[in-house]
Amino acid sequence: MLNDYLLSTLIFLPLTAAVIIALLPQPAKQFYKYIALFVCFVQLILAGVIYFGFNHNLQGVREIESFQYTEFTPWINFELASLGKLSANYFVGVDGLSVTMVLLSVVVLLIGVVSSWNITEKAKGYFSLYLVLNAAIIGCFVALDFLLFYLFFEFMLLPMYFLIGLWGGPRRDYASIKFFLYTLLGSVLILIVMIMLYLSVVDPAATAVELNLASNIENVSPDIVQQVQDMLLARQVPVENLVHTFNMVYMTDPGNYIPNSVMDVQVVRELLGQPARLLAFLLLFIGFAIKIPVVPVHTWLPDAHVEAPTPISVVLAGVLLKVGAYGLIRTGYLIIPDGAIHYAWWIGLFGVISIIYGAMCALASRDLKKLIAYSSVSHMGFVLLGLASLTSEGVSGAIYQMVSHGIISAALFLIAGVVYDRSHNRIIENYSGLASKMPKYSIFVIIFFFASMGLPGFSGFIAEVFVLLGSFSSSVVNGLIPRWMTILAATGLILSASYYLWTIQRMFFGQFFTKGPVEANSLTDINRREYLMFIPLFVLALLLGIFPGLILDLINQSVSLFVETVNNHEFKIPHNN
Amino acid sequence: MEEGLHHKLTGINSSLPYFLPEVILVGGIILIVFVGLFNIGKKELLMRVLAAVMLALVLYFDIRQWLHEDNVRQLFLDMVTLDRAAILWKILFGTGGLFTVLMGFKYRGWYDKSGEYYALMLSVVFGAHLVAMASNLLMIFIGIEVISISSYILTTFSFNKNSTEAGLKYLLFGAAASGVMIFGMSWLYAFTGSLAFTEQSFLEMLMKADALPLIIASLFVTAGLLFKISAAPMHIWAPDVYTSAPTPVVAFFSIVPKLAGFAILVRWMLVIKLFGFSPVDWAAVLAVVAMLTIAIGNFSALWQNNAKRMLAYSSIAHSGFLLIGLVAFSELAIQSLLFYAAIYILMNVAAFIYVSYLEREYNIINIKDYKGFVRTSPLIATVLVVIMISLTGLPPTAGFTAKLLIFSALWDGYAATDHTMMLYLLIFGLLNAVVSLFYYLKIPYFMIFKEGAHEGKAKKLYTIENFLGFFMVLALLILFFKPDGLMRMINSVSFAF
Repeated sequence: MLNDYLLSTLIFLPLTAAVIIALLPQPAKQFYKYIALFVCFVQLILAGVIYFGFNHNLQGVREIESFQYTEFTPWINFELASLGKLSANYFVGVDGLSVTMVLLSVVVLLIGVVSSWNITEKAKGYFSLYLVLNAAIIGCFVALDFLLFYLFFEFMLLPMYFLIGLWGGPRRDYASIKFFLYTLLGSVLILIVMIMLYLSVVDPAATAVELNLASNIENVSPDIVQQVQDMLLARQVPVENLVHTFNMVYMTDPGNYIPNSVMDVQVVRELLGQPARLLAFLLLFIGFAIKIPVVPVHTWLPDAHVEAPTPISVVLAGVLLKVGAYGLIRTGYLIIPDGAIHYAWWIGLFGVISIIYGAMCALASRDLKKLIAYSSVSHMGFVLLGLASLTSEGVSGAIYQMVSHGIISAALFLIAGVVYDRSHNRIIENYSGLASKMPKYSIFVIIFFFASMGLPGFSGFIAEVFVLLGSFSSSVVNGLIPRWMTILAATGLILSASYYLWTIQRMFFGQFFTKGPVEANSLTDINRREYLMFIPLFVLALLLGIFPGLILDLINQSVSLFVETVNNHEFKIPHNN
Repeated sequence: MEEGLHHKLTGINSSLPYFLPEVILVGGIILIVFVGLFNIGKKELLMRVLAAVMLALVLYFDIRQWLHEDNVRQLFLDMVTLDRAAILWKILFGTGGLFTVLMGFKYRGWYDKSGEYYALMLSVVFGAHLVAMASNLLMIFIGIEVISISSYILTTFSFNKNSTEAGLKYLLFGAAASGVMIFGMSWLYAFTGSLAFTEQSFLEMLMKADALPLIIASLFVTAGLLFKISAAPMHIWAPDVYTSAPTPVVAFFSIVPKLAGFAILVRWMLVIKLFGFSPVDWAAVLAVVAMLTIAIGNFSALWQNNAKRMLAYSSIAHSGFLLIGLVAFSELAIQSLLFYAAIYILMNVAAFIYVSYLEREYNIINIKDYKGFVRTSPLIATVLVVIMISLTGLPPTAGFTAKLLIFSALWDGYAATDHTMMLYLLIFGLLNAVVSLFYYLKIPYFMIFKEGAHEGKAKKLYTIENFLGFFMVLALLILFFKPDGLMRMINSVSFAF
């Protein structure tokens, strides 16, 4: 019973709590954060249920029946005049590709609430927006219907805009509107592709019902689906019986494409001199690249991070960036694999550019938080490189990197938050010798810096090794990524070691002194609440570094199907018989 | 001779039952003017209630027609055609009129002239009803003129120098546009020998006409119609009028006369496209007009400091988005246009309701005055955020569904015809949605992000405007999550393609 509505509970619990907080009277002020904490804690328990109940052998990816915890409710159904019918469903479920993201989000969002503990200014607005954001993030990761995904994707923008703009730093106005405009631009590009896709793809099951081949959707057997697809290919389905669908799983099957439609492979439609499918992939890539972010569309990120309050930075780096990468995997790679292969070289290149350029910017940053923000750009580059390689190791590494970066970057932004909370200044050169003044804090800083630069024993190491292995073997396995990209990416590791070590040296070692507006007395060591945030993240980073199976077991089956699906995709122009 | 007259008279007589909403409108106009002559106590209240009751009755009978009328009926000697598309448009006009009367309930700007005001307003709704059903070029002209002349006068209802100037400008431009339109119609009459533009013979004669004169004539007529929907470059009257007319009038102008223009443009395009044999590439012409309209509306709105003026410009941009339906011009496109029109009424009236409410109760006129308003009334602030999000076209509001549908139709049109202009329009239109975010977000930005002087107490919340506004915002949300009902209603309208 619980399992039937598990994912919906994950989504709607925070939404309900957000409404409750918004309706509670002002005197209940001190309870807001407890409500938020309670909700996130319940989510953690539910995520635990998902984790332990997850069947490792079911692959999902393109097989609609092997998704887990699925829920299906018809949502929007109406006629599209001469085109047939439109059908969007409330369809959620997880497979190996998304389950790790759900788990990560739940953990990071819980840490985020703990980190928000001292927010008293406009607390009602803050915690209700935070919970709305929470729901939208989970929704994004579990949605299997493009319209639903898009709804959640857009729905993250508004809370995020207000969270940065209202509780942010001095230049928050600029940062929040920049964030909003950039991301909206990205989602408009995604919207174009969504329109192209749903007008081209039919729901074979619902179409079968329309054709009276089955009495209802539950009775549609694979044979009937095959029959519908054959009829579709032979153009025997009357137009008024076509049911256009937003279902992302159906979109991965070439058999569901209407012959002659824009996204159909049989006819290469050209748009602005580009084959339509390749252009669509490009639009999706740019749209999600803004979110990931990839150099050169990353410029919103440092601003947003620097101005955002600490908990929001934690959520932004820990989870929101992953939405971009996950979206690219779920839509771009699976629905338009021909585009993914065609542009693999470029994706890899942009990944490498992000790694190197992000690291260089981090090296040049004077602001601790900006440094960490740029290191995010750099580390997300590995995700892109791993994906581009389209090998099992590379893709596993990419997903592993997403999880690992989610945990470690959350900790890094908390680290920046600790200094900022105390002195309201994050300029690196204003500090020196913190190790003697704040020893416990320094230990955590050094641990997480090392974890982030990929020290063996921490999760980052596993992820980066897998990515590099995958991309290195790519030139042999499928010839998508040349070796020099891997070599260049590896130098990114050296760069990341240099900016972290240099920062440790400047801020933590040597004689203790502070400069500028920083008051030495304000620098007290970390308190119990901060321990509460650092220790779980530390344990997770360590656990995932020592027992990679914790993640790999979840994702292996799905990743191998994913790699096989994309590499041997059936979106090929058939030869003339 | 006598036989013919008898035939005509019985034709008119048998048409009357199908003309009930219009008859009520005319009766209402006469009644309001008549009551306005007497000096009785609480006259203004009486006028308002009378106008609201009349419009509610009109709406009721429009809806009755919708429920009971499945056939296409030629009425009044083929001057008007009553079909389901016309009825749907009429329902939209009735709703728009009713909303405007209700939102103007507290408005005091027109002093003792409320009789004239409501009579003129009903005239515009009447003209719109005629236009929606017109199947004769003269009928179009009469309907448009009824709307226009009443609008010229309504513009001046602020009774100051600016609004008089705007009214006069509107009159001059409008008269010129009407002149151009009727000149074009006279040419068409010369080609075809008929004014019944929906008839087969009219089409056949047009196909035989020479290309150049036909191009000139059809462009002239279309230009006159585009003037009504404030499409660029025929929009120059709009900024002046929108700035100086009273707020309820501006809200009214941005819906009823504009949508009347769309109602007739749809019918007109069906004819003038000549089933694809037209010498004019209408998709290209309208695509350019749509792009210009969107760009001018959006980029002018960007620089406005006055909330009302910003909304006025943004409504020009929405004309451009509605025009997309005419560019794509398929059954899906027209249905999307109707859907967009219905949603547009809701969100635009809602926006104007709050702009005028805040102007009256809190003296908030410029966008900067919204500073810190969230602390005065978080509820109204939230409602305004939803309205602005809907105008931008973001989920979870019906504004998104409307944009999704109309762009889907455009994409489908492009896929079917390979007309590159449609693709450019698609990209341009969607990018402009991002631009529009920038100015729509200004109001929430000032309300919520800026500290302001509005720390005062919230004024009375239980006013008719607030009820109306909440209702509309609720409708905007519901129509996002469940557009099926409205869409099914629109689906039941068939268009002859």
